[in-house]
Amino acid sequence: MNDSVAIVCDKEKDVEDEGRYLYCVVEMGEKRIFSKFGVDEEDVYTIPYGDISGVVHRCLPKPYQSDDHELVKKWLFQHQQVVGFFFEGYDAVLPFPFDTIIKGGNADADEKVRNWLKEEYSNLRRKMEKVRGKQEFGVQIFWYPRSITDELKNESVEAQRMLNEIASKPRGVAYMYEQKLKDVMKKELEAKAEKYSQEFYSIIRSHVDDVKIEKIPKADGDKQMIMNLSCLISKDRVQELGRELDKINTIPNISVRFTGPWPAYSFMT
Amino acid sequence: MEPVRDVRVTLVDLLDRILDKGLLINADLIISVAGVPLIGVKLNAAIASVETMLKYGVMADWSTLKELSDTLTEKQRLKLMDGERLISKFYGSVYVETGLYPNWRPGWFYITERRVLLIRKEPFEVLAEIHYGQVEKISAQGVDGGAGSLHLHLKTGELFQFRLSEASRMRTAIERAMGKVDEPASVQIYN
Repeated sequence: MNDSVAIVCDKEKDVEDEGRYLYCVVEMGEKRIFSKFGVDEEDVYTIPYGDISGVVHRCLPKPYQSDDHELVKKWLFQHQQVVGFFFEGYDAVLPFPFDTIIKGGNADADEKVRNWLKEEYSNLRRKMEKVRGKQEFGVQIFWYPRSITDELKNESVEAQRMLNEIASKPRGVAYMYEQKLKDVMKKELEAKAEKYSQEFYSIIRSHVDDVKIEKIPKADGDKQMIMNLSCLISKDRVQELGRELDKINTIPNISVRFTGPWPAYSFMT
Repeated sequence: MEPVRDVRVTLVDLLDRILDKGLLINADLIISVAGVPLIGVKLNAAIASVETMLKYGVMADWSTLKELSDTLTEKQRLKLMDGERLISKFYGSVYVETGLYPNWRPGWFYITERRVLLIRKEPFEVLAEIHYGQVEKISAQGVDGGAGSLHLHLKTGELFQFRLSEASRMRTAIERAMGKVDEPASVQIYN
């Protein structure tokens, strides 16, 4: 194992050298220990404050980082494994991102976590109420711009007129018309994307409890993402959304990707 | 349309969430991670290599357990056999060695008169199913104040490792249920 990595937690060391790796905040007021369950097989335990707890493990106040990709991947899975465990068993789980480590400083690190829970209590409670009994899902909508462009060309009166012009003109002039046609189609495609996005968004919005619009990654080949959403949904409404997505998925040259359930990572801010 | 959770397909979606999203703490309380681009770069490289793995099918065996369990399940409900009664229910996890990394997978244990089932509720998945007739012996490890792990050793030599906070209670429940099985002679119970 990479020796630059924070893996050892020596109980003999000063409290100043301690940190707590945070997994999630969960609605549960008991102290529990889960041996060798966490990132790097650390013992995971709960730090209760009233009726909520922070789920943590003891570690050095250093981020987990390594050049060993396999090791990093393993840590990521272990992080998700712990958050997933509480997500499956409890109704209101607030997940932390990977590598969130609270500094012990001069105080006992557990006490630091407890103080944070105390200070943030009403805020955390509010978040818990927001996500209670709900799950996050990813909804991504793709289209095939080439096929859509062909469709648009057939539908558009202007495009048909230009195509006729191109066919009847000498080469050099035809080239200019082709460029013009390209510009026209680009605009039409953008307008179509805009129309679809608004339409799909308003359908999806009415079948979920909350929604976040996410960035669209760069296109990969013929398929292009036109909408990327994170949706917060009550468990009993998932099928309802599934049915709506089915309808969108049947539109020619449109495909829908529906993933989850995830802990409500996207609804923590 | 059913949501997809299979990690081979949704890994990038999961990592997007774990790396970039979640609960935030005042920067002065935590060691700086978000501000250090180093980590982001390294983690992105890790993700890229996961994608490569996916492309070349290295992770193909991840679904083995899922496929296996699918054949054992009836969607959305426990398929109890005629006259099979549910005795009790516990929350815990099972150690799964197939897949990308051996890991503990959480779910609900259902103790019936004939078998132990470990169910993930959403999406529904049977993580483990053991008929009492298959059990050679039960052993408990690190049972401390009721919490710990239970090992079910099967006659085939297979071992199921469970972890839960009510390990001793579940052990008692299983042992009691096993007492009611038709072929008790084939079952050895260790105290």
